[in-house]
Amino acid sequence: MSFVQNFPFFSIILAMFSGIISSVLSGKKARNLTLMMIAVTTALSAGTLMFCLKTGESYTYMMGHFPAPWGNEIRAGVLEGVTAVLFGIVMFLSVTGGLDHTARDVEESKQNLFYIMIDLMLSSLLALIYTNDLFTAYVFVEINTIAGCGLIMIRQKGRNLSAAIRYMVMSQLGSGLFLIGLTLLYDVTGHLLMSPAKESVELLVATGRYRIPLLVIMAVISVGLAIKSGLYPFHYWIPDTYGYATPTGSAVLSGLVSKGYIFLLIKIFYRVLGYDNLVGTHMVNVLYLFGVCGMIMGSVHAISETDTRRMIAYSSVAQIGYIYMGIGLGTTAGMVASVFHIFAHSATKALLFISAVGLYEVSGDRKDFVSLRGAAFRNPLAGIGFSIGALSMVGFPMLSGFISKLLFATSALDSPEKMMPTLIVLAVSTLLNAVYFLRLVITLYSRRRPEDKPLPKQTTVRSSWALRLAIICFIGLNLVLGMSSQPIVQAITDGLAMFD
Amino acid sequence: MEGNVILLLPVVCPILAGVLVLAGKVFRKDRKSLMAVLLAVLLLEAGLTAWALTSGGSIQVWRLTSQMNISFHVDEISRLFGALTAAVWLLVGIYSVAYMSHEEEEHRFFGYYLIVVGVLMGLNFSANLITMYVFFEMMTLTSLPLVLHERSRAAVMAGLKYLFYSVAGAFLALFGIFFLAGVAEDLTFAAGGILNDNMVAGKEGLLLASTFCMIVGFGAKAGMFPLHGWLPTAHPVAPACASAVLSGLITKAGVLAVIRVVYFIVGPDRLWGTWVQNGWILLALMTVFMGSMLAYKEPVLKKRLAYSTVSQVSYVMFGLSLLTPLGFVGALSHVVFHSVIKHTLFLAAGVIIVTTGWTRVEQMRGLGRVMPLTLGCYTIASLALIGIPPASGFVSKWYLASGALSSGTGIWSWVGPVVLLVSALLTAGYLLPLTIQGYFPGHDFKGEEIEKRKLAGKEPSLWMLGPVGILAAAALLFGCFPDSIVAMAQSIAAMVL
Amino acid sequence: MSEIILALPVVFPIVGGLAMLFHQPGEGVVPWNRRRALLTAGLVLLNSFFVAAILVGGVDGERRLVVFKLYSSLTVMFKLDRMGALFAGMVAFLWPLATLYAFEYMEHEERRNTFFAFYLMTYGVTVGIALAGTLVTLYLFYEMLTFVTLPLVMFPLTKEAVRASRAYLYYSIGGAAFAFIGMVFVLGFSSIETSEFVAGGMLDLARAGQNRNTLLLVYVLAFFGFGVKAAVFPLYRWLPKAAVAPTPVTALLHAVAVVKSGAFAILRLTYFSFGIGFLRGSWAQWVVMCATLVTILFGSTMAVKEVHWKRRLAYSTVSNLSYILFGATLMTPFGLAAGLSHMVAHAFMKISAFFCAGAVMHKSGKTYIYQLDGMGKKMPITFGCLTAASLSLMGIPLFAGFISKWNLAQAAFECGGLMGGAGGGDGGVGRWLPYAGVAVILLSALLTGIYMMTVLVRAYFPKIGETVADDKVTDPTWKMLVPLIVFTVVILVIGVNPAPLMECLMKIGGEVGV
Repeated sequence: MSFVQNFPFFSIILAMFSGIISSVLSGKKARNLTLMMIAVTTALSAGTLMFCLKTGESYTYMMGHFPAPWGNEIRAGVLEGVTAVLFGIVMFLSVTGGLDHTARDVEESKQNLFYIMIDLMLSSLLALIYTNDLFTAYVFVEINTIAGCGLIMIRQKGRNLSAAIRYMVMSQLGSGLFLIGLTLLYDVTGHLLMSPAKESVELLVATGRYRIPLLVIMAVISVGLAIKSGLYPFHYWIPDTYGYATPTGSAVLSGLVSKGYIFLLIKIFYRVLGYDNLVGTHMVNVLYLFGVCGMIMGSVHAISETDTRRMIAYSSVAQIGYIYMGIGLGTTAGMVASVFHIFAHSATKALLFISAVGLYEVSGDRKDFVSLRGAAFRNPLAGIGFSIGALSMVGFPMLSGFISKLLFATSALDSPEKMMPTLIVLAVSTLLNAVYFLRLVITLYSRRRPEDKPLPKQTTVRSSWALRLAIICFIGLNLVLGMSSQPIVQAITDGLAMFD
Repeated sequence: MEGNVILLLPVVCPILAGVLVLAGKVFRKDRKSLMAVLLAVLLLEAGLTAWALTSGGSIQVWRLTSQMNISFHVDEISRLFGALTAAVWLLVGIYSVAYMSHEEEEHRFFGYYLIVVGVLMGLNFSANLITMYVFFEMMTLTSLPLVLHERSRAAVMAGLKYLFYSVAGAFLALFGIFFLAGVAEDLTFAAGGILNDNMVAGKEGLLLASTFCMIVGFGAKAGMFPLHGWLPTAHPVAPACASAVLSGLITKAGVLAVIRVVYFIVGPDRLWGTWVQNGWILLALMTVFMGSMLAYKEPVLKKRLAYSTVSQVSYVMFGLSLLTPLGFVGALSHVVFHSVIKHTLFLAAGVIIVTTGWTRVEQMRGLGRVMPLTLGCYTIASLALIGIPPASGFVSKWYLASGALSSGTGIWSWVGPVVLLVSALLTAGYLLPLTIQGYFPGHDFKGEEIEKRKLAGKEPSLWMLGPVGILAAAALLFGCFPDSIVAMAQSIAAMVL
Repeated sequence: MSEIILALPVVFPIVGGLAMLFHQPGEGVVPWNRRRALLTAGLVLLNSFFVAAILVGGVDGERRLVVFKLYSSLTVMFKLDRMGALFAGMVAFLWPLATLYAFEYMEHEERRNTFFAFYLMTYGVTVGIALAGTLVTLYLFYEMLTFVTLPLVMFPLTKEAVRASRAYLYYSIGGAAFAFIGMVFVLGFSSIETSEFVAGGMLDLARAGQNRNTLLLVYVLAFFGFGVKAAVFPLYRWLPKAAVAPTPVTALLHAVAVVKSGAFAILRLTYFSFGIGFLRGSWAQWVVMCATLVTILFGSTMAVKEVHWKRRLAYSTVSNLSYILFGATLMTPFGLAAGLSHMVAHAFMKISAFFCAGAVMHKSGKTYIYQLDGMGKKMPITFGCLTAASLSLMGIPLFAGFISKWNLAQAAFECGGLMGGAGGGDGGVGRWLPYAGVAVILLSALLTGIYMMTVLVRAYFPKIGETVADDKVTDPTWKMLVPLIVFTVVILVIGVNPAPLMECLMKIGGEVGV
C-alpha cells in the first residue's frame, strides 16, 4: 500500500484536528490555519485523484485494524477524488471571498468559532465523500448539520436565529428519517458497512424476501436526504438559510452542503441499494418528478422575489431539481450529468453569492433591486462575476452551465418516455432562469434614475483584495468547467464505473 | 439592344421631357416656356408614333433574367391603340393649356402628363407579358399625381383609393403571370396564344383560375366589377383633362392588357365555354347595367360621366368575353369610339365647370344660353354614346349585339343584347337631360344667375373649344365612315380567333 | 485544412470592441473625439477587407478552421461555404456604410464609446454566425448576438428602452432554449463525427427514420426557437418594441444583422442539418409553412394600422422575414435560392427605409406618420431614396423586391407542382398550401403598398391646409446621404440586372438537393 493511499484519511483527520486546535487560537490565527488546512487537504485529495487515475480503480482503506465486515472502511476512487478536489477549491475560495466580511460581521470573540465550524464542515464533507460505512455516514451527517447551524447562527441577529432553528428542525427531520432507514437496513441485512450490506441486499432482492421493507428503506433514505439537500417540496428552509448567513456561509451552504448529501445519496444508491433495483422499483420516477417540479417551481418563486439573496437561494432550489431530474432519468448518462451539475452548480452558486456580496457593499449593504441599480458600474469586477454566474445559470455556451444542460439533454435522448418532458422542461427552465437572473443583470447595468432614493454613505468603496481574488478564481473555475469539460466528464464517467 | 431603335423613341422622349419639366426650376415660373415645351413634345410624340407605327418591327431593350426581358414590337393592336393615344393626347394637351391656367402647380401636372403618355406607349408596344406588366405598374404610379393634383382632402383620398385598387388588381393579375411563367418558357405575345397542351397538362384548373385572376385584375383598371370602386371616386376629383384621359385612355390600358392575356397568351380556344368565360360575361354585363343605373341616379356631372365610363368600358369587356370575331370587332371599335366620345364629354364638362362653376346637372339649366357650341358638341357625343345612327356608337353596338346573338354562349346570347338595350336607354336617360335642359330649360326658367354673372354666350377659348369640337366631329364621322377602324379590327380578329 | 484567416474577421472586431470598452483613459465617461471615430471606422473597414480577402480566396466549402472541441462530438468550427459567404459578404458590405451613418446620427449622444464598442462587437459576432461550421458554433454565436446587441437596444436608458431590452432578452433566451433542443437532437442523430453542416442534411437517415415523428417535432420546436430572432408569429413581439432603440441599431441590427441571423439559422437548420430529403412532405413542413404565412399577413396588417413610423417599418420587417422563411419552408433548392434572394434584397430595402426614417427623425424630430406632410420637398434626396425603397418593397418591377417576389412565387408554384404531382405528401394540404402562399405574398404586397405609399403621398402631396412648419429641415449631411444613395443604387442594380446574383444563389440551391 503506497503512502498516497493514506491521503483520504489524512485529509479528514487534518480537518478535524484543525477544528480542535482552533478552539484555542485567536480569530486571525484560526483563520490562517483554516485556509492552510483547506489548501493542504485539497492537495491531498488531488494526490488521491492522481493515484486513482493512474491505477484505474478504487481502493478500500481499512480504518483501524478491524477488517470488514466489522471494522470501518474508507473507499477512494476517481469520482471521490474529483469531488473532493472540487469541494476543496470551492471551500477555499468561499472562505477567501468572505474573509473581511467574516471579520466584520462576527464578534471578535466568536471569530475562531466560525473557523472551527468551517473546519468541521470540511471534515464532514470529506468524510461523506470517502466513507464506506453507513453509520459513519450518519455521524458525519449530524456533524455537518451542527456545523451548518453554527455557520448560520454565528451572526446573532434575529433573522439568523430563526433561520438556524428552521434549518435545525428540517435537518433533524431529514436525519431522523435517514436514521430510521439505516436501522431498518441494519435489521434486514445485518451490516453497516456498505459493501457487505450490498451483497445482502442483492441476495434479498434475488430471493424476493423483505420486498416491502426494502422499498420502505429506499423511500425513507431518499426522502431523508432529499429534505436535507433541499429537493422540492422539502425546500422551504432554503431561502431563509442561504439568504441570511454570512457570505462565506451562504456560499458554503448552498454550494457544498446540499451537494454533500446528494453525493451520499448517490453513493448509497450505487453501493448499498443497487442502482438497478432502484430503477426497477420506479423510485427514480418519483425523484424525477420532484426534480422536475423543483426546476420549475424554484424559478417561479425566484421571479417573484425582490430580495436578491433569497432570489439566488430559490435558484438553488431549481438547480437541485436539475440534479435530481438527472438522477431520476435512470441512466448512467443521466447520473454523469447530475454529478457534473453538482460541480458546476457548486462553483457557480458560490460565485454568485460572493459577487453579490461585492455588489451589496457598494449599495449600502442593501439587497433589493432598486438599491442595486447601477451597482455594476460601482464595482465592475463583482458585476462581471455576477453576470458570468448568471449567464452560466442560463446556459450560455462556453460556461459550465451550458455543458450541464448539454449533458442533461443528451442523456434524455436515451430514455424515450422521459425525453420530451425533460427537454421541454429544460427549455422552459432556461427561460425562467433568464427572466430573474438577467433581469437583475440588466438592473445592475442600468443607470440610477433621478427618482431613486440616494444610497447611504458607502461602507466600502473598494472591495478587499480577497473578495476580488475569489471572484476572479471562481470565474476561472467556471470557464475551466465550461471549456475543457472533456477530461472532467471522462473522470466522472470512469469514477461512476468504479463506484460500486 | 437589338432591333428597331425607332420604337424606343415614342416611349422614351416624352418620359425624358416630363422628367425635365418636373425637375427644371424655370418651368415653375415661366408659363409660356412650359406651354411651348408641352405642345412641342406632344406634336413630336405624334410624329414619332406615326413613324414608329409605320416602320414596325421589334426591339429587345433589356434582358432581366433568362425568362424576363423588356421588348417592344409593333402589331395591329399596337397600331390601333398607339394611334389613338398619340392623337387624343395631343388634343387634350391643347385643351389643358387653357384649362390648367385655372389650377396651381401646373408644371407638376404637365410633367406627369408627358411621362404618362410615354408609359402608355410603352404599354401599347409591349411585346411580352413582363414588359406589359412593368409598364402597367409604371402607369399606375405615374398617373397617380394627375389624380392627386388638386391636393384637396378628397383628391388625396381618391388618389390613394386609385392607387390601392390598381395595385390590388395588378397583383391579382401577377398571380396569373407567375403561373404562366412557370409553365411557359417565353412569354412573348403570339396571336392565338402561346400555350400548348404539354405545358398545361395536369394544371388546367390552375390555368383557368389564373386567367380569371388576370382578367379581373387587369379589369380593375378598366373599371370592371368587382374592382371598379376607385373609378367613380378618382375620375371626378381630378382636373377635367386628367379625368378625360383617365376615362378615355387609361381605362383602355386595362382593356389592352386583358386582350393581350386572353388572345395573345392563353388563347381563346382554351377559354371557350369554361367557367372563366361565363364568369367574365356575367361580370361585364353586371358592370354595364350597374354603371348605367348609378350614372342615371348621380347628380354630379363628372361623377355621372365616371359611372358612364364604368358601364361603357364593360361593353368592351363584354365584347371581348364573347370570344367571337363579331364581338371582338365590336369591342375594338368601341374602344376607339368610346375613347373619343368620353374625351369629348369630359372636356365639355371641364369647360362648364371652369366657366360657370356648376358641377351638378340640375344647376345646368339653360346652359344653351351660356355656351351653345360646347353643348352642341356634348350633344353629338351623347347621341354617339347612346348608339343613335349614324354616330359611331351605333356601329360598335351593332357589332356587339350581333356578336352576342351569334356567339353560341347559351343564355348570354340573348341576355347580353337585352342588357345592352336597357343600358342604352339608361344612357339616354343620363346624358340627354343636360342637353334638353340646356337648350330648352322650360318656361319657368328665368336665368337670373346667367344674367347676374353675365355668362350668356361665354364660349370657351379656342384652345378649349377646338379639341372639343374636333373630338365631337370624330365621334360623328367615325360612325359615318367606320370602315377603316372596322377593317383594322376585323384583321386583328382574324389573327387571333 | 486549418485556415486561421477564417477566424480573423470574427475575432478582430470582438477584441477591438472589448478594447474600446475597457480602455478608460481616466475616470468617468470616455470622451468621444475624431480620433476614436476614425479608429472605429478604420476597424470596421479593415474587417470588411478581411471578409473580402476570405471570399476572394475561394468558396468551395472545404476551407475550415476547428477552433476547439468541447467534448466528444461538440466541435466549434468555422467553415466557409457559399451560403455563409453570401451572408458574410452582405454584412461586410453593409457595416461600414451603417457605421458612417451612425457617426452622424449619434453625434449629439453621450457614451458613444460604449455604443460603438458594442456596434463593432456585433459585427464580429454576425460574421461568426455566417462562418459557423457546426450547429454548436452557430448556437454559440447566436447567444452571443443576443448579449452583444442588448446594450445597444438599452442604449437610450429610458424606461421604455429598458423594458424593450428585457422583452428582447427574454424572447431571445427562450427561443434559444428551444433551438438548443434542436441542436442536441441534430448532434445526437448526426452521421458525421464533427456534426458540421452538410448541404442536404447530415442526419443519419436510418436512425432518424425510426424516430421520425420525434425528430419532426424537434424540428418544429427548433424552427420556432430560431424563429424568435426571425420574428415568426407569435414570437415577434420584441421587434416592434425594439424600435425604440437608436435608428442605426434598429436599421442594421433589427433589419439586417439580428433578424437575418435568425433566418440564416433556420436555413442552416432546414437545408444543412435536417435536410430537405427528410423534411419534405411531412406534417412539420406544413406547420412551419403555415406559421410563415400567418406571420406575413399579420406583419403587413399591423404595419398598416401602426402610426409610429419606425414601428411600422418594424412590423414590415416581421412580415418580410417570413417571405424568406416561406421560401425556406418550400424545401426545394429553388425555394432556398428564392428565400436567399429576398434576404439580400430585403436587407438593402429595409435598411434604406429605416435610414430614411432615421434621417427625418434626426433632422426634424418627427416620428409619427401624420407629422410628415410635405417633407418630400424639404428632404428631396432622402425621400427619393425612400421612394425607391418603398417601390422595391411593394414589388414593382425594375426594383430588387420584384425579383425576389418573382423567385418566391416561381419556387412556390414549382413546389405546388411537385407536391400535386407526387400525391400531396402527408394529406392534401400539400397541394394547395404553396399556392395559398403566393396569394398571401401578393396580398401582403398590396398591404405593403398601402403602408409605404401613404407615407410617400403624404410627403410629396401634402393636403392643402396641412404643411410642415419647419423651414430649417433639410437633407442630412453626406455621412447619412452616401449610404442611402449607395443602397438605392444597389436596389436598382439588383432589380435591373439580377442575373449575377441569381446565378450565385442557384448554385447554392443546387448544392442542397433536388
